[in-house]
Amino acid sequence: MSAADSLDSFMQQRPFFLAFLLPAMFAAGLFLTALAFVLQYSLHAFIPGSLEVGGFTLDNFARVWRPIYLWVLLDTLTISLVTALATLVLSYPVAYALVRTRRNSVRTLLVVLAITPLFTGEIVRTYAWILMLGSDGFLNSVLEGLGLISTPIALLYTRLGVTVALVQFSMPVMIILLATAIAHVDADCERAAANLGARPTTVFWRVTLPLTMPGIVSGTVVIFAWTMSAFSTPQLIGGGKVLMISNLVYLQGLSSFNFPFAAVLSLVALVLALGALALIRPATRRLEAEVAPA
Amino acid sequence: MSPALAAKLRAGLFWGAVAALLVYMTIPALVVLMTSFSPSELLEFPPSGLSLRWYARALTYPDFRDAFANGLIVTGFASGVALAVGAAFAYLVDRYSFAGRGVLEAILSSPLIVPHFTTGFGFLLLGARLGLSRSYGIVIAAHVVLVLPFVVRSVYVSLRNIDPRLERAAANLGASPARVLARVTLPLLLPGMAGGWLVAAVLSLTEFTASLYVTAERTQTLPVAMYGYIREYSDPTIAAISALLIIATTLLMFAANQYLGLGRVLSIDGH
Amino acid sequence: MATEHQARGANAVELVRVSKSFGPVLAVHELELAIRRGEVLTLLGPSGCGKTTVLNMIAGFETPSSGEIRIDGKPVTAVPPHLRDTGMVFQSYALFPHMNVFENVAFGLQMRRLAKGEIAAEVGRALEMVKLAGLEGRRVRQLSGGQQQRVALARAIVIRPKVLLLDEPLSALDKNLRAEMQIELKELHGKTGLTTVFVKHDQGEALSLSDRIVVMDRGQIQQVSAPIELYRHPANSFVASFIGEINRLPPARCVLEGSSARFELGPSLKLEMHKARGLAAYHGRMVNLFVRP
Repeated sequence: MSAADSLDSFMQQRPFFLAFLLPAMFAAGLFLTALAFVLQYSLHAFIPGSLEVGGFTLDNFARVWRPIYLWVLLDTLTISLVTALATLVLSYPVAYALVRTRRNSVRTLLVVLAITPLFTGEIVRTYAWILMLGSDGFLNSVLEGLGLISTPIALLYTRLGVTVALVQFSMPVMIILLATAIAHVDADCERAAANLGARPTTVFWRVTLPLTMPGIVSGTVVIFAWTMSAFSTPQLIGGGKVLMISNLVYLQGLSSFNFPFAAVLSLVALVLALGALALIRPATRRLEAEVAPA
Repeated sequence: MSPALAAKLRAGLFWGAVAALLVYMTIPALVVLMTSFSPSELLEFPPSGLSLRWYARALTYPDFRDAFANGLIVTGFASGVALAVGAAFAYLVDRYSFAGRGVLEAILSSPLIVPHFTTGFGFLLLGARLGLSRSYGIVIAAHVVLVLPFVVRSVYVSLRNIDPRLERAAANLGASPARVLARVTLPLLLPGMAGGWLVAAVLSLTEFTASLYVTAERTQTLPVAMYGYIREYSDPTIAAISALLIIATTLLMFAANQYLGLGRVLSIDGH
Repeated sequence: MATEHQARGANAVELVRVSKSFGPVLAVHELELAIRRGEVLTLLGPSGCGKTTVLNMIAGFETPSSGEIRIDGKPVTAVPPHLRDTGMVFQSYALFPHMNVFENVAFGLQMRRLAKGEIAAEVGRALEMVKLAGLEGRRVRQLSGGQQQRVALARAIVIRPKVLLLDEPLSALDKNLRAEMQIELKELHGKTGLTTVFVKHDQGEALSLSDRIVVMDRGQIQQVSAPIELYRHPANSFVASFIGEINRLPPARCVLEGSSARFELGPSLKLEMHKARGLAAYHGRMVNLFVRP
């Protein structure tokens, strides 16, 4: 048998298998252990003034049902939903331009502008919005300078301000996801529609948009789940007045040192994020099958 | 209205909207840049002059310098470990099938979905139990887990694009599997590994939420130190640091696009 | 007035000194072509000759760099594709994957705002013509290649376009299916009478299907004739070698003697042609010789 065959059969004995597997398993184990600790703490009683925890209890989970905490949950869901939808609407034109422009320079510019913010980090980006939204911030200064307002508008510490910042945060990811979907639309289908008499707007609504539906759905859900985990934006721009789950976890965990309750909230956030993604999978799969090229 | 005129109007509206959206996306960064040069402590638009005082302060502020050093240590180790573990795992996924592979894949990619504060909190608790509370070790461990999915994905894509005949040819010429790996596979994977490592490093350097939970004052990374500063002071020192980070990242992206072709990597360079 | 009316009636499409360049590349060069109403015309040539560009310009997907295009006598150069009333069948069929067969074929009629009942009737008729009656509810990916092509055809003909444009319609089919489809296309033309323009690079099918063939090379028309004319009387070497089987001989000197012509290929190799006609201009000159097997 040739050396190539012997390589293949040796490969069946799987060289490096253990060497490559064990580190990965270790990393996975570490992560699961961390999450397991969160679960463990959530099931034990909080001892005020101490980092130690008491005996087994379900009280922490019961506590979540208190109205103030449910409102925070609801707020989180609402802000995440509004953010996801607004991001979708605003990102689509940019993604479309990025894919369909004939000039490479324009595409490069759009790609860099879209992707760079992802790598500057959330603190930098959140701080930028503090500068934008404050009462002596950029927006207010411009509006006052143009004579459109006489007193500053309160944008900081409001839901609107937080949402506006969150949308701008999420656009790069949505643009990438949508651009991939749009790039896979057969341009001939659009030409065929035009040839058959469809105006450009009609081509968009009847052909392009439906064919990008899987990308739209999965992109919106990804942003929804992502936004639910947002922390620095509501923390710094919400300033304690706009609370999302993440801020609550921080307050309970690192301010009140109520680790058990913080743990419960962390788990709730996790379940919601996983749940949203899991729910959407069958729908996305069905959509993808429908628009798959013949 | 003639169709040609309607077409021009439509194109104008479309590109106008896109331009406005791009303004929305980039204005915050520009405002940061503007503010970083402001001579005054208070926010004013437009700035009354040009000054580098905040840059001087940012670069000499001890908390920031220590935090940056911490960041380099953490990111250096985390990205290196993630590269090794992630590349190895990608190799496994590409070449071998085994029981539990899907589960392992799911677990290792779940940090993408699990909120960073959940992961951070979990590692905080883990660190406390192991007595490694807020040491470099636990921070590095958390970072490894957080950036691993990016490395795995990047290397996996690269692996899929390797021509298997090259490795067979090497074997045919007498190379042992270890030799094949070292002399053929790894060199071919270099771009994918480099890209994955780069993403991991940048994400680790700028990671905030999980780091907030797992770091102590001694080990805090730059984003955490910046957060502390923002809560206490309102002068534009942070603007200066942010401006440096923004410029550095932008240059990095242009370079990456030049050498790695971002559009192709994300499969969005269509028609 | 009478000649103007006649002109509008006779020609479905006219290209008047049409050129198209893509940056520095000149794809089509000062093309002049009149496509007669109801005929089957094929644009034939090697890849890169510009035939697909011409098709796209008629459909409106490309704008000529200079020159004018007229459909039914009216200039359409500035008219966008959705207002040109042409029907195009793409090489990849470009069927809408998110619609079923009925919705695909009905699309053009919906754009023209026909009533629902009319649309249903027309779609039914079109599907019958392409022998796909009863498959209205099928989704596109459930169809075979041949069936998809028929749907694409039905979708284009149901709108009764001023000109039907087909871009290499048979290239994706296997050999047997191609032969079958060729016959069906001919029958279809017989039934619909639509002005039809094909783009092909394979001359075999072009010769059997077309009323006239436009042989193109490097952006220019080499010859426009009926197939048999192209075969018997090619206008130049390119057309001669492109159409049909042919042998090309080395250049020879042509000497006329009375009604015969003698071609001297070499010192001891001569060809004699009795009953030589129309060769007066070539006496004493070097000529290229082609011989059909």
